[in-house]
Amino acid sequence: MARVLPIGEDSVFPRVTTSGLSSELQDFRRPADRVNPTLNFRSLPLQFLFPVYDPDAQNWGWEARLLRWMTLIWVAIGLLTLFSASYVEAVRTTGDGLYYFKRQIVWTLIGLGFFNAIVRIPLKYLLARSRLVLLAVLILLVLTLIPGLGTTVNGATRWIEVGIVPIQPSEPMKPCLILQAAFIFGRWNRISPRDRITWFALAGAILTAILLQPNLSTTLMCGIILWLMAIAAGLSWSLLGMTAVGGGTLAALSLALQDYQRRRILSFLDPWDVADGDGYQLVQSLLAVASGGLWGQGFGLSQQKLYALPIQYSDFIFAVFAEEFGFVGCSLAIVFLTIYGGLAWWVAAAAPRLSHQLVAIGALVALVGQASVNIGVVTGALPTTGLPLPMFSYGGSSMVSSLAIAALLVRVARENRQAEVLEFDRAAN
Amino acid sequence: MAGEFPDDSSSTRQHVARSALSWATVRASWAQVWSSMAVPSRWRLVFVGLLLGGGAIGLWVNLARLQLVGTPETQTVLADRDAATPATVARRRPIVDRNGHILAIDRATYTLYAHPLLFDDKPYDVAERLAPILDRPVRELYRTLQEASSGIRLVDLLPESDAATVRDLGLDGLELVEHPTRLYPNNDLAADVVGYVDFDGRGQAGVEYSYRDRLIVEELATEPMAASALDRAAPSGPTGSPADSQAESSNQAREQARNRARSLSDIQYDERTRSRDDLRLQLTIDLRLQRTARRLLADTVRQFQAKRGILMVMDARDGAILASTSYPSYNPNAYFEADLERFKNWALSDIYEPGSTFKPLNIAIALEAGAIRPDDRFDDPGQIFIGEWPISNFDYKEAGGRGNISVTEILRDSSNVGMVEIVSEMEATDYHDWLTRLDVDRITGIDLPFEAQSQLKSREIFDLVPVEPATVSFGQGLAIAPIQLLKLHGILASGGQLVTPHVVRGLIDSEDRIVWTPDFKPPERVLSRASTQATIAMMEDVVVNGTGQRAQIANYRIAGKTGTSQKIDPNSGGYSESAIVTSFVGILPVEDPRYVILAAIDEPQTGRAGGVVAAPIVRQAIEHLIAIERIAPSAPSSSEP
Repeated sequence: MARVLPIGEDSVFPRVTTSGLSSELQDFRRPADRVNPTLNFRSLPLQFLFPVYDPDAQNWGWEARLLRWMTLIWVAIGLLTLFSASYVEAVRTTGDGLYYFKRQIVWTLIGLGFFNAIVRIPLKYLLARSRLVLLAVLILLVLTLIPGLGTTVNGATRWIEVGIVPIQPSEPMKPCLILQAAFIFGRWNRISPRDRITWFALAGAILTAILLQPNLSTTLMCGIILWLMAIAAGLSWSLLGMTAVGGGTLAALSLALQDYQRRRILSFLDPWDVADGDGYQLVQSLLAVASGGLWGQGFGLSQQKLYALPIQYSDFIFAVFAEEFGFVGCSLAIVFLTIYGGLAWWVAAAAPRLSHQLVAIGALVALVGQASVNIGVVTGALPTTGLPLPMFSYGGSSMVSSLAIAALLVRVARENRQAEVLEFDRAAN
Repeated sequence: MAGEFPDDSSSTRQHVARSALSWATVRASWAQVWSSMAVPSRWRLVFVGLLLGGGAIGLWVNLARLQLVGTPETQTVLADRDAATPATVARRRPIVDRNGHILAIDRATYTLYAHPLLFDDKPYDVAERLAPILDRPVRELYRTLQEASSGIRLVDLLPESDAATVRDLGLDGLELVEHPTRLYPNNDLAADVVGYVDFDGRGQAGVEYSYRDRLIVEELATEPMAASALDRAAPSGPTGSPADSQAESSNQAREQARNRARSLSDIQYDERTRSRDDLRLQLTIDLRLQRTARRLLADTVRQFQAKRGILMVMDARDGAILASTSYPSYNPNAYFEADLERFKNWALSDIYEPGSTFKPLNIAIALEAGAIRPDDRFDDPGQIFIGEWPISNFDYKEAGGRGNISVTEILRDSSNVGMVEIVSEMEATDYHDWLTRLDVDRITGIDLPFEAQSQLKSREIFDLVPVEPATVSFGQGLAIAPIQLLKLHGILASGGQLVTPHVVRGLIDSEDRIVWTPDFKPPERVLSRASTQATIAMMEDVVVNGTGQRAQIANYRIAGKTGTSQKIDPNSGGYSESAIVTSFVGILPVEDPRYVILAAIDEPQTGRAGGVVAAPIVRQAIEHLIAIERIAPSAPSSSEP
């Protein structure tokens, strides 16, 4: 073993050795039941080069393996769709048709690196320590609000440059929020009402910071994730009702203050009435979806993506997918989402601990729920909001955080099947 | 836990409060909310699952509604878009000759792109299979395929048959993009008249350019328009108020005035005609005559090692050009390979000094002005001085003076001195007025593009400098395009009418009915029939006894005039010793003149006179013209000696 990363104080092999691999193997003949495969970082460098390859995965339970494969398929289809949706726009704006595609590939590799790391970290540890990451992300989030530090695109300041890499802190906030909420809701009956209020205040502050960017859609998505997790956690309906009313009031306030958000909502009700103005995007999206027909135009043959449909490689990428693959392709996508969601729900239901169950539910809502909201927006069933389609839409922050969330789900599935992991969990805590 | 909440005494405070909504009540409920126990259950999970599952079903139903049925709005827009798609490439009407033979037509050609990125086979194999179809060496093709990973343009203008062969190869990574291309089945035969269309579908020369507005099939306006602009002027239905009706009638009056201002031709080309796709643009050119003219001209230019030549045939009754060819020309199917110089039709675009071929017009003018009579006689010493300038006959050195000669003999022997004497019978200003009356100083108005402006000295100069009208009398000192010379002789052939030469008859429908005719200046009488007929009689003598004997045809009476004009040497500014334009203009039949034939050969290296170089091809062109137009032979009594 070249390196052993000590995860907990009482890790099985806490010592960092520098001796050669072969002698190491001879020296330590560990019994299988004592070995924690999740701590085996031996193959990690290879996996960072080829993140799709993971020899450990064949030892996992079927749910974990299936979820991992479905995540990879989701990413692959997303990349293909992004290639088609972004090519023409990339040629027009940058001269390089692969401009967006190449960057998305890099972000996907980074995301898969996070994925492979997270599926190896015990949930107990993640649940307990993720608040540190959450704080770091929260600091970035607040920094974007300071004039001059954030990067403003289309009137919203959502990005911040970390080094030279632009990051959208509201995206990594999602997995952090899921873990933190699972941690809190999972031990709800063991914490004092004062701490409960404190935590709700913190969550409210985070959502408000996102809302101030302004980014109503991500705020709402985070709110929905938290709220549905709270339902699953069994929180009282009175509290749920109160937070729903509070969140609704906050959203309404935002709408009252932000003119463009209000106009978007109104344009959603009858986009054809304002087809040249606020309804333009939705109208073009509806035309793209409708022109898909039963079988679609064929891969790469979307007409709407050429000139008519704005941000076709990002929030409205599903319109390109729908035009190219038609109702058949869209139905398969819905079926895929349903199976993925059903599997996630099954993992949640099978989780022996409430916090694990809640992580699975949070991941379910953040991936399948957000995808559903995005498709609803693109097909005109929901108000037009700028929410990315997980693993499809162009954007590094979204891709990495989506893969991190998927990794949390896979981790839950793994721990459902591995008694020794739970043992380690208890020991580590 | 709930019990540990520090302020659990809310229930005791509640009855103290007067109102149910008191601060205490709120505080109590607040505490209640935060202290309540979490009761996780399987039902909660099911609730969340149903929420998301229901959403998925809703999305699916919505997608089915949009993609399988469509909303009324998407149906309308998409139907419009589908209908509009094929018309993105403008359709262009065919061009036919006066007998309906195709001169230009659209056909589908293809541009072949290669995307090696998508190849299933090795690039070399692909090159090997494409090479015989594209008629290119395998190695070269293989090199081309390695230039980029995608979007390599292998060949343009691939015909349908080859495109089908490429398609049948069934290779991945090849792309055929259809591109309607103008096909000219007769290649360079009528290029000077027809012109060509560039790669973007824009007419760039000839009729393709000058009639570009009439060649494109326009989209039909969606709003049902009145059938024609004339119908629109008709009174409409009852109107609301007197004011309305007044406005209506003033509108109508304006409309009528506008229609009167527009020519009949414009009115003919109404909304409906514009969008008809069964129309063809018919030329006045006769392809059979054109072919003969082209062959004769090419032979002659080669035989005399000339720079270039033109041969034109015009029907002087209405100005219709029956044949117009210049050599060398270009192939409009491969215009991109042609020398730029060849795109201009020099019959229109280059001016030259017409020389002796201009003399008959001066005689007709002098007759018309009453300055001379046909039987007048002049003394020709062979050389005279106008001021300090000597003017001599072309044969002065060998022949010397001719003595007392008739007007006919002046023309027959092409006497410059005689012509100077004839013109000097008129005031210089009157002579200039006559020339401008004949539109010598204007463009002919032919319906072909890029016509050059004639050069004629001003009336003041004519008056002040006597040598100017003297040189113009024998066709030097002014510069006109060959088409202008043809038009001027058309005045003689038509009995004194000024007609506009043209190459387009109009738009005809599928049953050859004419639906639109271009608008030309109506014929205008400028000379009397007596003067023109007398001049033509003299020109007949040129062919019978004079310099134009090589244009004689048995049993036909032909009038003509040779010309050998000196060209300005661009280096010295004076007349060049070697560069000449030899020409011959013929008119027939003499008893009822109708056709004018002009041949001009630029810079022949061997033949030095119009009678030698140009007259024979005019004769041969006339022979074919007689056959095509079924011109009856002249009465034997008045035929040649």
